[in-house]
Amino acid sequence: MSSVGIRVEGVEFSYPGREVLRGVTLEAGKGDFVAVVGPNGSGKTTLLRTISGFLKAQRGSVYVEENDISRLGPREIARRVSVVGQSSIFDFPFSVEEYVLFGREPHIGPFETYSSRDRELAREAMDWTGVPEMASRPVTELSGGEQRRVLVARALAQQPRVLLLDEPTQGLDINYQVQVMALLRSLAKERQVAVIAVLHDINLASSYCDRVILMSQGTIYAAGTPASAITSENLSAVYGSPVAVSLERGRPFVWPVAPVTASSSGDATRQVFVVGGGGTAQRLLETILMAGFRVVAGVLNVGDADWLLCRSLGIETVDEEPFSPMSAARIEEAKQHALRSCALVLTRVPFGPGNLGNLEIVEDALEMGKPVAVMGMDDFASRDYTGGKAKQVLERALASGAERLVDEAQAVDFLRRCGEWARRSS
Amino acid sequence: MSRRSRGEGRLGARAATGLLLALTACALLAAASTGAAHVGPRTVGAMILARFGLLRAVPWWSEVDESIVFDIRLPRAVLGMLVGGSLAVCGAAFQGLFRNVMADPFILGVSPGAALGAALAIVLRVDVKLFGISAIPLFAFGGGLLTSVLVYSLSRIRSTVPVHTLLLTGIAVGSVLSSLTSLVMVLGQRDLYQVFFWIMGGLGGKTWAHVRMVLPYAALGIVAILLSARELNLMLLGEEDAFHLGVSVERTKLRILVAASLAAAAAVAAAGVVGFVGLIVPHATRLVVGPDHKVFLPSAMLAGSATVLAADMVARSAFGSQEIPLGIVTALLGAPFFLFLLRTKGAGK
Repeated sequence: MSSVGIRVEGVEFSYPGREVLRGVTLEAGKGDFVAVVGPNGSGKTTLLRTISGFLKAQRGSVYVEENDISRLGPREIARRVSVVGQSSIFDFPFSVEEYVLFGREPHIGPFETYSSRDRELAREAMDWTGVPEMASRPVTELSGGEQRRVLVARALAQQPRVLLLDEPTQGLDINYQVQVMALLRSLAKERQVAVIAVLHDINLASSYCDRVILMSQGTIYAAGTPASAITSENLSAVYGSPVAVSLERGRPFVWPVAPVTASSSGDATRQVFVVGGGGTAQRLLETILMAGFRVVAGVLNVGDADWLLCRSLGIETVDEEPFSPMSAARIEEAKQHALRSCALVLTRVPFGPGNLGNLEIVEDALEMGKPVAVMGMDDFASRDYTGGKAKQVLERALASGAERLVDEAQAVDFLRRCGEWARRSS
Repeated sequence: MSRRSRGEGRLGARAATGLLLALTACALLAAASTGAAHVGPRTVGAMILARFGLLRAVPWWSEVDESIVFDIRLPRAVLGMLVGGSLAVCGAAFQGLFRNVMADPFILGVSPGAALGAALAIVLRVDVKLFGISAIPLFAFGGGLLTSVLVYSLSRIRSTVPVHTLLLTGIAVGSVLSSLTSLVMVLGQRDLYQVFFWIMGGLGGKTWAHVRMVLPYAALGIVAILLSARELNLMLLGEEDAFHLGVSVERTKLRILVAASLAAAAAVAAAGVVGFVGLIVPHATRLVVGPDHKVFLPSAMLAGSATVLAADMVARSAFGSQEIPLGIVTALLGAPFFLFLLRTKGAGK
């Protein structure tokens, strides 16, 4: 038997006057747990319906266990593929057990009744999804979340080789979201089922799936491991609004950033220049991105902790060679960025001979009348490895109007004031 | 386990079928015992058993009595059972197919189509026979079948037939056909009375010949629907889910539409337009036995038979010797009962 569960080759599908899928190719092996993510209207559900054979692709082919799906009848498909969709109807008062038993229908002959094995499989599926105590309740009386779980149970009772799910966690509380995802994962691994799930929650996809397919406008924009597909560049391009991605336990974690509207992107009143390094900028960057500011950071050595963070958050940086002192050319470039920003913030970065040049940017900004803020001056002595040179510069800066900030919240207040001031003066 | 699995307050499959079988048998016996000539249920029961060789007794009834029961009352009762069973099963199948408890055979325009066919046959005095079937039921049957084909093809959008389009098309086509029937009645005034009474529905004067005419179509339709019970169950979950559980959705729709057209057209051909049986009987039955078509369809069939038998007894005895059309009785008693269900059981959910 083939190890390939589903193979999709160049599938195109359009409704009259509307192209939905423009050539999609993908493969899901048995044991794979694949997530399909993408913005509304990117064709995720249509892709699922084409894979399940419910919609017939106008071009391209879908193979289930190497069988061309267009040559299989509904019953033959239903014995291999089960689907948890979005359009299930719960208007008629079947009991939960009856509903789950419907999953056995493709496996029993026209004049057969449910065998004890069928009932056993239904009960097992109900146990897995945590619905056995509702077995005799009418499905009409269940909550939306309970109905989702009953649907998953029905799909499991179907004993599929391929399981397709459209938003299986919708309407579930966090506890059941995690349970369903873990269940799907173990189903894929232990029973060698190819599981393909359309998910809205990218973090859920990232945490549980082997592969992520990122769809955009009817095509696959990116596909691969969560770490390779879920990047801030990809997501920003596909969703059209900036998102930040950081790594949590080796998997990408996405968090939203307040949208920068078209008019404010490239707008000096929303841009902040951050001087950091060595991982000192992390909390500041996350906070001010969330507040809706655009950030340029520099000068950073390639490979520095803050540089890596900026890369994952999609923040523009002024780069210097790894472990090298800041060169005059980079400093000059950074000064230009600082002048195009509404303010400059200096993090709790330690100073040594290598990055002393960064203080020139601070001094220059002050001279040119840009607002400057310095985070956590109290402990500066312990971070000064320049024999007091850096301290001198900073004290001069504070004397000529730079603000002292204690925490990130203050930084946001400071930046809002600067933004307001820049807007009024422009 | 199987007991627990059923929804609460639902009757088991066996209990429901047994009860309904007994009820229908009683209704049949009662129908064969009701009439001007006094032949009681005990005598009728004995006559039937003796006829099938199950009772060895010296007949205490006259030949006239026997003729009244076997040539007048029984064919009428058996036809009533066929009509009631057909209409109820038809309505049940449509309610399942449309996932709408307000659907009945008339909504699809099948019955108005059959009525128009019958009216044409009467007014035009068509005198053809096909396979031994006379013109009126043949035209009624053809009218019903043509209407469903028309509604089906008018509702077709590419390769699918959305059920709500089917429903609305059925209503529109049905009202056109009803107007045409009225037009035929106005133009063929000398036959107005016959067409009018035919349409109002009734079992008066029906013989075994009528039973033989109707039986094959009704049986074929009913059997095809009963065999589609599992597909109908899955259709209740939505067409997409039905497909994913192995149902050929469009093929099932077509099969049910053809089967229901056969059964409904046969019923209307035999008894005219008997209203509300196809709507209320399935509805009330579902409330008692639950939505599983494997139990629900046979139950609805038996309940439909018993209902029409009871209604026919009212039709021929309520106003003394003046028999009233069956359709009036079913509508008069059915509609208030329906309102009662609507208010007490929240049927319009």
